[in-house]
This record gives sequence, structure tokens and C-alpha cells, in this order.
Amino acid sequence: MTRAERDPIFDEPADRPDGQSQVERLFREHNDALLKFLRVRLHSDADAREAAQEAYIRLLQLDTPDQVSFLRAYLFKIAANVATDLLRRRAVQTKVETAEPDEVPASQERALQARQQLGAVQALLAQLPPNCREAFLRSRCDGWSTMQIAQHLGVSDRMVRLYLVRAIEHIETGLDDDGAAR
Amino acid sequence: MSDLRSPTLARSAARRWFVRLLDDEVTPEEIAQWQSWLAADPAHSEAFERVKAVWDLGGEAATDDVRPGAAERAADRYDGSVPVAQLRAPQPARGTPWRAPPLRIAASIAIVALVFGGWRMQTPTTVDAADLLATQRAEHRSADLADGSRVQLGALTGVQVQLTDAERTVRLPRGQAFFVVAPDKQRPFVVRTPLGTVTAVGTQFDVDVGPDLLSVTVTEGTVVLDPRRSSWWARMLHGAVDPVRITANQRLLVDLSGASPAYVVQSVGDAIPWQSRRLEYRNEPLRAVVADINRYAEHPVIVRDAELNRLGYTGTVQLGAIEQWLQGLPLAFPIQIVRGEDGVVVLTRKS
Repeated sequence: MTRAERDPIFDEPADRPDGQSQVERLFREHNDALLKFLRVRLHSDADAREAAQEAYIRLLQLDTPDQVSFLRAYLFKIAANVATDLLRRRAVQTKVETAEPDEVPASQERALQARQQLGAVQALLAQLPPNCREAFLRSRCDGWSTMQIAQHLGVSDRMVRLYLVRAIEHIETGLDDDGAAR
Repeated sequence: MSDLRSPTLARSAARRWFVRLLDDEVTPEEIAQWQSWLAADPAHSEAFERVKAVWDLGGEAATDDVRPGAAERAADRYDGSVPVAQLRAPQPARGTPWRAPPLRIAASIAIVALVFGGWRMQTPTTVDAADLLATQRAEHRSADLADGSRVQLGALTGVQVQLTDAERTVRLPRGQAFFVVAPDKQRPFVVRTPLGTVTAVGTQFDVDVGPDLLSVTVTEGTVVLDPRRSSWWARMLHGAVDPVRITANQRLLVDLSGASPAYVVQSVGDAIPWQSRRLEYRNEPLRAVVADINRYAEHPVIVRDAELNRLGYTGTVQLGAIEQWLQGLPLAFPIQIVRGEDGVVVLTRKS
């Protein structure tokens, strides 16, 4: 059905392929996945929500926001860009204010528990081989992309991914062993 | 493919997905694959959340003095082909000798079960000071410990026993075990699980450990559960909580699956029914029932719906007749059963 055949009064608004409702539907369908995806790149749920909202606005501003396949393909791409921008902004901000007060409400106690693990995590980080450690720190703390790290270390991006996987594995299993030993 | 049998598999997949998603270019197809991987099994999203927590912790713990120098990096020959821990091995035990063989996870025990299960079938077995004991799917076993205590293992369960002069320790990473503890005031009997540590002196009790559910049932005497003596992951979920005391004919259910931890003490009869190959439940979350059944069922059972997982189930499951139990479910509950091609049984809400 094309737009011309549609009766603007009697057709359900949701069926109308106008940009806004398409984008809304897309967000409803993918909201959970989008937030999880953003949470990989960003370091708090609040930032993930902020980035999702921004991605929504950017999608609405696109010239041809009424092509579903286009939107779906670019939703995560745009969200990734928003996340990168947000990370850069945050990097500047955190130098000014160390903690965001509105960020740890429900899980404050858990965050406190988490802090007690930091000593153990620090030791595990120090155990990582130098290049593996560098890859982790560049990605996690400096927000470098896999490609950037690959160039920096002079290795393939496949190797950088492997380094990151091994770094996470080492901390995760190290913490498990630490917990089991208590 | 379900990863119910191997949390290790789910965790390593979760790490690879996480790192893949960090890439600049992630295709919509990959996003779709990742989403269906997450939805395929609750263990997958649990594993993914763990990776996220590790990633966050790693960043918070990082300080400038852990940054490697250029010379250090140039000399580095690590190619990522083995885990970092193996690279560092053989490693002398940190702290007490007890830590030397770190019990990774249930999966390592499952492998032990496959390798040694064959020639350790005779029951009861006598267990020496330090020993591993495991059961396979649908298998029950009983063993006498050197201190006079006895342990009975449910299916797909592994324990590691350590008897020292100071303490009698049983590690139970996952599964179900019933303990008849020989009294010894000098040496407490301690069951360590990832979700908390259960301490007893002379008593009889049952411990059932799942990924985020722990159930402790006492038939005689008293035990104390200390949630703080648990894995780092469980400690984050527990928050600040005091030890809980449970006495005879009580059951403590710990549920770490929700937004905040839940601790429920129920009174129960004096029987531990699983030993008679029957599981009895009184208003327990369906996920707990399904977790138990998955240690016996030929094909894994998966609950697709979060709300369904929390549904309170009251009833009996005959372990020899799980198929019939499944067939009866849609009659009594708003549940629909879908069977996958690989035999996986998926429970969804009836619409």
C-alpha cells in the first residue's frame, strides 16, 4: 500500500508509514536490545538511556525516516555514534566532577559492595600481559576503538578482540576464584 | 543449542559478544544474532550481565600505574591463545594450601564426572580427606566421609570435600546434596556455594544450588547461611545482609534473580523428597522447579517468559515421569509447551 491510497482520517495512525510512528515502533521493538547495546559502550544505565533518547531524536531528523529497513539498519549505527560522542563529553566532565550524584540510586549498596572488589580487580589487571592490559585500558578507559588499538599495538584487530576477551576472562574467573576461596 | 549444561560455554560466548559489540562496525545481522542468543537461555543474559559488571569494575579499578610502558609492551610475546591464568601457571597457591586447586565452576566438575564417573559407580563410596565426587544426569549417589558424616548427591551435582583439623568443608558449586553431619564441635561442617556459605555442627540438611537460586532445607538441628561468604557476583547481588539461621523443618529460599534479593523462610515437612525420586514444591518459583528438573530431564526445559519464571508452583514431580509432568502443565497453569527440533522444551505463557 502506498501513501496515496491511505485515508488520513479512518486509517489507524500506527499503520501510517509516517516517520515519527515508524521510529517509535522501531524503538519499542528494540528498546531492550538498544539499551543493552549502549550499556556495553557506556558505563552507566543513565548514560545508556540518555544516548537512546538522543539516537531517537537523530533518527527523527533524518531526511528519509520512513523506510523501515533503512531505520533498522541504522538504529544501532546511530546509537553507537551517539555513545561515542557521549563518552567524549563524559571524559571532559569527569575531570571536573568526579561523581554524578543522581546516578547510583537503587543500587547504591551494590555499588558499595562492588568497590570492595576493586582491590582484587586491580591485582588481576596487573597480572595481564602488557599488550593485553594496554588493549583493555585503551578500550575501557580511553574509549579507543578496536581499530585504533590495533594500529597502536601493531597487531590485527582480531588480536585486539582476543586480548579484550582474555582480559575480561582473567578478571571474571579471578573474581570467581576469590569468591570461592572465602 | 542450550548452554544449560555449561555455564563456561555461556560465559565465553558472552565475552566474545561483548567485545564484538564494542567494534565500530556492527551489522544489523550481528545485532539480530546477538539478540536471539540473549533470548535463547536465561543463562546467556546472566552471563552477559556478568561480563558488563567485570568490564565496569575493570575500568573503575584501573589506575595510571597499571599502564604498561613501551619497553614492557615490546617484550611481550603473549598471543592470546591461552587464558592469562594458564600463562601464569604453574602458580604457587596464594594464601592457604586450600586454595591451590581453585574450583572454577560446575562445568569442571561435570567433566570430572564424565571421566571418573565410570569407575566410581559403587555406592556408598568412602571419601578421604580431599576428594571430588560427582553425579551424572539423573544419577543419585551417596558417600561416607572420613569423619562419619554422609553426603547424598542429587543428579548433575559435584562436590569437593576437604577435611582438616579446623574445618570440614564441602564445596558445592551447583546441584543438590543432602548432608547427615557427624557431631564435632571442634570442626564445623561448612558447605560453600557460590550464593552463600552454610555452616552446621551436628545436623541434617539439604542444599540446592542454581545459578541465582539457593535453597537450604533443614531436617534436624540448626544451620546458618552466610550470604557474604559467596562469590563476588553473589556478594554484589546480596548487598549488606546478615547471616540467616534456619532450624529443623524450615527451608530458606534465596532468590537473586530479581531487582533486589529475596529471602524467604518456609516451614516444611521432615522429609527430603528428592531421595525418593520425587520432588515436592510448595509455592516455589517455576524457575526453581525447572532448574531441578533439568538435572534429570533428557531434553533441557527452558522458560522463555520472565513473569512465568516467577509463577508460584505447588505440586509434585515424579523424576521418572517428567514427560507426563510436562504434559500436565498446560492443564493447570497458563503455560504453553513448544518443542524445538533439537528436543528442547520451551515453556511460554499461554496467550
